[in-house]
Amino acid sequence: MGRGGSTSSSSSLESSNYPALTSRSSSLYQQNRDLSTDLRLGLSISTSQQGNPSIPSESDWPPIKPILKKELAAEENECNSATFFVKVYMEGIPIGRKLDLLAHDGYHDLIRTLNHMFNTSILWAEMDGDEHSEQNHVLTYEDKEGDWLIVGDVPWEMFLSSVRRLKITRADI
Amino acid sequence: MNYFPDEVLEHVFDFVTSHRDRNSLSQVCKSWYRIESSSRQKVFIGNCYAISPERVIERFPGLKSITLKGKPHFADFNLVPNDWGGFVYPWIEAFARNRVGLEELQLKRMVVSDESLELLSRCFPNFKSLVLVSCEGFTTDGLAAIAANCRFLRELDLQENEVEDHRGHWLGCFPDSCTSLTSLNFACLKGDINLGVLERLVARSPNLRSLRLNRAVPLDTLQKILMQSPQLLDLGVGSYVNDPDSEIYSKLVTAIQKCESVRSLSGFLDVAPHCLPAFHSICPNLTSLNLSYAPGIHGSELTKLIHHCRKLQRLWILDCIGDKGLEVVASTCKDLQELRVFPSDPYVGNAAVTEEGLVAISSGCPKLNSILYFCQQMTNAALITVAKNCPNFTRFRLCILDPTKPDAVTMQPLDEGFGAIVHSCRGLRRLSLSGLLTDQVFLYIGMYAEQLEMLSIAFAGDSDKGMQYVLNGCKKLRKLEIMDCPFGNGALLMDVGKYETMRSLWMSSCEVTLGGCKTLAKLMPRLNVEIMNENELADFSADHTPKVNKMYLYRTLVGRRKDAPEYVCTL
Repeated sequence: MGRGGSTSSSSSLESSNYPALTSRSSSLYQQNRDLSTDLRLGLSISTSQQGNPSIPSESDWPPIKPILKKELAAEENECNSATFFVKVYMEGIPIGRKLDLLAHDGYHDLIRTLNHMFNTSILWAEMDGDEHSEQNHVLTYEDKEGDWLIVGDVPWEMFLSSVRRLKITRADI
Repeated sequence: MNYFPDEVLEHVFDFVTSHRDRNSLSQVCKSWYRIESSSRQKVFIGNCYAISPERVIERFPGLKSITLKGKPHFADFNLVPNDWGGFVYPWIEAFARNRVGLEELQLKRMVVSDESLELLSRCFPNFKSLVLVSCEGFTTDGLAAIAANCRFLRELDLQENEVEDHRGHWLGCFPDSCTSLTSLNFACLKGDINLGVLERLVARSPNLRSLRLNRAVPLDTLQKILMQSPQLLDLGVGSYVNDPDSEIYSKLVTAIQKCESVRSLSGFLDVAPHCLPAFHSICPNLTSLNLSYAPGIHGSELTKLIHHCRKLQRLWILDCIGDKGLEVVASTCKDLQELRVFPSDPYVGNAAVTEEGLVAISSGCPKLNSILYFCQQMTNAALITVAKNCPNFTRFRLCILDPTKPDAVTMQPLDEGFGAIVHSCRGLRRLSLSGLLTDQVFLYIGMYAEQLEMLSIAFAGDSDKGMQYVLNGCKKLRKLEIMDCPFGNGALLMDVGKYETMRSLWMSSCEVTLGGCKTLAKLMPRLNVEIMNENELADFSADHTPKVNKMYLYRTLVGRRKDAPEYVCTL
């Protein structure tokens, strides 16, 4: 944040040594672009505001006129197809499946599909205690930071905006 | 100065048109004041609450043309709640009552009711020109009154207004005898238009120079209109969706080729980009191109279009042009003076351009003097290069979509980069900052930005010192707007006299408290210090008074306004 106490060393405004504006910054940018597609598809179905807390609420930022914002949002909704396919792997099976997350309206729906697809019983975050013993597999997902987390802890919309792929592992931990 | 009779002075003054120059004239001596005031026809009021209509009429009895601005600039970004104010009705009513010979009215960020438009249309027989920018509160019924009653109407220009559309009859209210239109812009209207009525209106307007259509006007109507009006200088295309193999499309190509005078192109509100080549024949003549409402045009179609636009001076586009597209602009548009790049994906917070595009433009377009740039990231090195390449900036507005992002390469604050901009661009009048910024950038601004008139700050600075540097240093500052910065009462109260030299100050989500604002209001009776209380909850600060969520203060000659809503408190 701008309020941090960072010091600026040089008061001179002339400088001859700059890092070249090269592929490094553009590759960083490319990476952001790939993830942004996931992000965009996830957020496009949600009206709740989540994500980076340092970005202010939707109404204040970025500073463009509401009339332009509305035009662009309308175009966005028309352009986006309403699908979001992610890969799903089950441990021990080298060939994965693909699943449209947007075709499901929540975790319960998703688990049901996966149970069916992989012919198993899947454990996830919201299950009751006494069902644990019957579950053969655990459902996890990789988020945009590369971490593996158990499915079901965060609200569905937030999950959609951060999930990259799913993995079903054996529940013998 | 006393040697010339009044008529001679008046004649000389006629050559002085800018309102600032005329203001200067009026301060020379009493007789110049008298002559200037009685002869001034065009008046500019930057804040409608700084003065009353009665006093304006009293001072300028020859008033024919007036510009009024209402809400503060940050109202554009939803920071000012509805019904805050800025009503034009009292002005129109006062003009009508005093029989002002009003001919031109230009409003920005004001609330315009249908009643005001109705009154306007009936009370001023010579009324010629209505320009509404970012206004709201009216419907197409109000427009119908204007169309029906203003017999000599030349200009009806609606720019980015929120208009309730009651569907299309208003255009039919222009009587058959109306042949005087020179400018018609209804691009911001959402509803349907009677296309036959539009075609006939255009056909009987031989002086039409500027026409901007809304999205309800399809390609075949456009083609017919262009055949009627090849003399157009400024064209806003509505809906642009058609099959490039169709007969209509080939007729359109022919019609466009005849439009050799078109210098300004905008619109493309619904677009099938493969039809764009129809416009390639007029691109070489274009000096102004606005595609900021055309998210349907991407990549190669866009660059193909731009390739033909070698004379472009002004370009407004969306960031889907990308850095590569900006390089095409840089190598093609050598006369470019003004560039605006808007974010096509504002909700998600990803922009498709970076500092590379900006640097490319700055090195390819040495005449660049005005920029608004929404981007993903920025670096000090890029800003320093831009400052070196383009010392002629008068307006420099940068908006990084993540507002506190540091230099993308060095992770340092962007103080040095913006410092280079203000140091190099001695004529800079308007500046908007973003990115990670400390008090240091404000030190630079105070030191170097001698001509700065308007400064917009968000999420920047460390302490009161930041704001103090600006208030101390920028002698020509007129408008200062600040959101989410750690500036408090110390900065606010440092130099209270300064605010009478400025039009206005906006501070929201800062550290100023109710106590500080009250102190200021007490010291400066000729300022209106307005506090907006929307939330019940408020942080309490060291002086045991709550922090103020939104404060807007402005100098005024007429005291507290009477039309403020409940949530606004003038201290």
